[in-house]
Amino acid sequence: MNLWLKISLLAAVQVAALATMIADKQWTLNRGTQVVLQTEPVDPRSLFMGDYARLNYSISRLRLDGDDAVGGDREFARHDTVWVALKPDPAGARAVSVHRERAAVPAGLLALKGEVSYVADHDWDRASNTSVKRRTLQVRYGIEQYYVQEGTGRQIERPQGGEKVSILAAVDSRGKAGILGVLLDGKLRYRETLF
Amino acid sequence: MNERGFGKRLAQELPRWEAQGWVSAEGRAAILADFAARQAKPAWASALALAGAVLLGVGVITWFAAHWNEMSKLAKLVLVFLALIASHAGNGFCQTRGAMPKLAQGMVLLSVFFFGAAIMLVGQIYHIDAHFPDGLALWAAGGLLTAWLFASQPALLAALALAAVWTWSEQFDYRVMNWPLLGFLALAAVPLARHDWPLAARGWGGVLLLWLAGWHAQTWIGPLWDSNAHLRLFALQVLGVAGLWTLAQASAQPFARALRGDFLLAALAGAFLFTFPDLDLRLSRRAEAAWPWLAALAVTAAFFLAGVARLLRASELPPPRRALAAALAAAFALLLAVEVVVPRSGSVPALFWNALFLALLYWVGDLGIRHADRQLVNRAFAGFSIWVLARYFDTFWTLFDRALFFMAGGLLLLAGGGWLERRRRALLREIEGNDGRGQA
Repeated sequence: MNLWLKISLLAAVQVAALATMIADKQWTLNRGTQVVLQTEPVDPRSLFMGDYARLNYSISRLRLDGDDAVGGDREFARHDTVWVALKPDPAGARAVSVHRERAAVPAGLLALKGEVSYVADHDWDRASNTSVKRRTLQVRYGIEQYYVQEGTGRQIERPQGGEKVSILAAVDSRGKAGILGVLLDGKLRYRETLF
Repeated sequence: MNERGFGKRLAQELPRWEAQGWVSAEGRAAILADFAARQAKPAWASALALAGAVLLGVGVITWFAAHWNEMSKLAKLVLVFLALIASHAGNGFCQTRGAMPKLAQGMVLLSVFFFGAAIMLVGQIYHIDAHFPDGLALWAAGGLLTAWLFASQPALLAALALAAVWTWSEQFDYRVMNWPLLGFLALAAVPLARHDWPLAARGWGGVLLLWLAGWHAQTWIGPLWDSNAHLRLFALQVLGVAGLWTLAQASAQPFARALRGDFLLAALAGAFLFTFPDLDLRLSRRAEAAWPWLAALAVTAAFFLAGVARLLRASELPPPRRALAAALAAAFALLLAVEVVVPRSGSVPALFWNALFLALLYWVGDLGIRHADRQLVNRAFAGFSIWVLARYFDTFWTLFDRALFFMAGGLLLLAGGGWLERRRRALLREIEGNDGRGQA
């Protein structure tokens, strides 16, 4: 094969791979159903990608026992794929049930796909400040990182003056989620665009 | 003997051969000139180009990580695509108009780095929070394609290094099996079979061994925890690696030649671990079906025996010694089969393993002497010293008063070490004496 043909082929494959990454994300943002998710603060940094705010949502931790337990299946293992049934709410979407199969998500609810990070048999009860026996599922949805300019991640992770941070996300027909924007006290602070 | 040592020896011996009338003065000069011409020159141009590519690539990656909101998304995307295309174009110009093949290799390596930077930048711009090892896999695949298209060993080395991080991340961090790595390694083996790339070949072997080690992160920790299964799996892996060694040893292919030393070392290290009587200390036995293990054993053993048969057929050893080698190979396979079939109990299997390990060391040393391979002789002696130390700690530790045994054991080791060193030197002298007359 001619040298320049090889170079063109490699460049085309690499550019196509990168474009696919962008197109896949953009598909989710453009075609997905918008939903507001409440966040809980934490913090970090990526060696290769710089500063980012790590986002933990109220729907990341699902209780399987007790009064506030979600419905659905009960047996899960680490790295299992799960389908979470979401009930949208302007103040923050609520997880209604968690399932092993997408078909089990009740009609009328939004199906969000996630991966089990871990399953814990004990949970920390904030009211009594003690560990209680309660099966809990930690789920990752692929919207836990929001990249920000160096040194500004903490503004989102730990907002000053009691500001409430929530995320405007889009959930597409495949159950994939993407971050559309960041809301501070319900007002859109950052909005994601293609360029 | 290595090339440098051979050259030195040649320069020492040639005047004597000339004096004996075996070589003419012209012949002597021609031999030395030919040898000097075939010697690898210090590749400064190549080294500088590759170091430059690494520095520039790392610089670009960290620059993207640091400067975030200084540019618009579009400007960053254009910049990263331009950088990627420029590195490809640079490679093309170096190879055609400039005729600078060394710098072209640097450009090829740079394009691998830029592709990684592009993946990370796109991830950063669009907040793509996917399964982290997938990004590494894509980067490694890009490196492999680059190595394929431009016959570049540096690109393949970079791709293999990325594959190592990818499989480490999947198997040790996420604790899931990285099956796609086998496809990657199969594809990487194609250029390695076509080109004489010893460094990349050894990198390939290293990634394969890392993948095999990564299996144990699955069984040892997590819901599948079962040390009996872990031990069985390990025995199968040792047999498989020994099989790979036999096939590599029987082949004259440069790819196989580069790999065989590392596979032999890995198989020996596996055999050494079985010499520990306490290997089954925490063995938990669970009722489980035996047939999958037996099926895996049958396949692995067939693979090993096919390699041994090839080796024995090609061997120039006299029949009695060939029979001894066959017995050693059979004992090795048999002991591993027992580890797979019968759950280990007590220290009886360890006794057999110790005897076999010593016999294997003897055989490695003997192989080194017959092939005039100093490295093999040194490895056999190093293995023996490690074996003595291991038995000192795990066998006698509990039998004697520690202080007394430290003294007696210390003296024993000093004396043994001195004897071993004298013996090693004598053997190496013997190898030098046999140079040119060594058996194949």
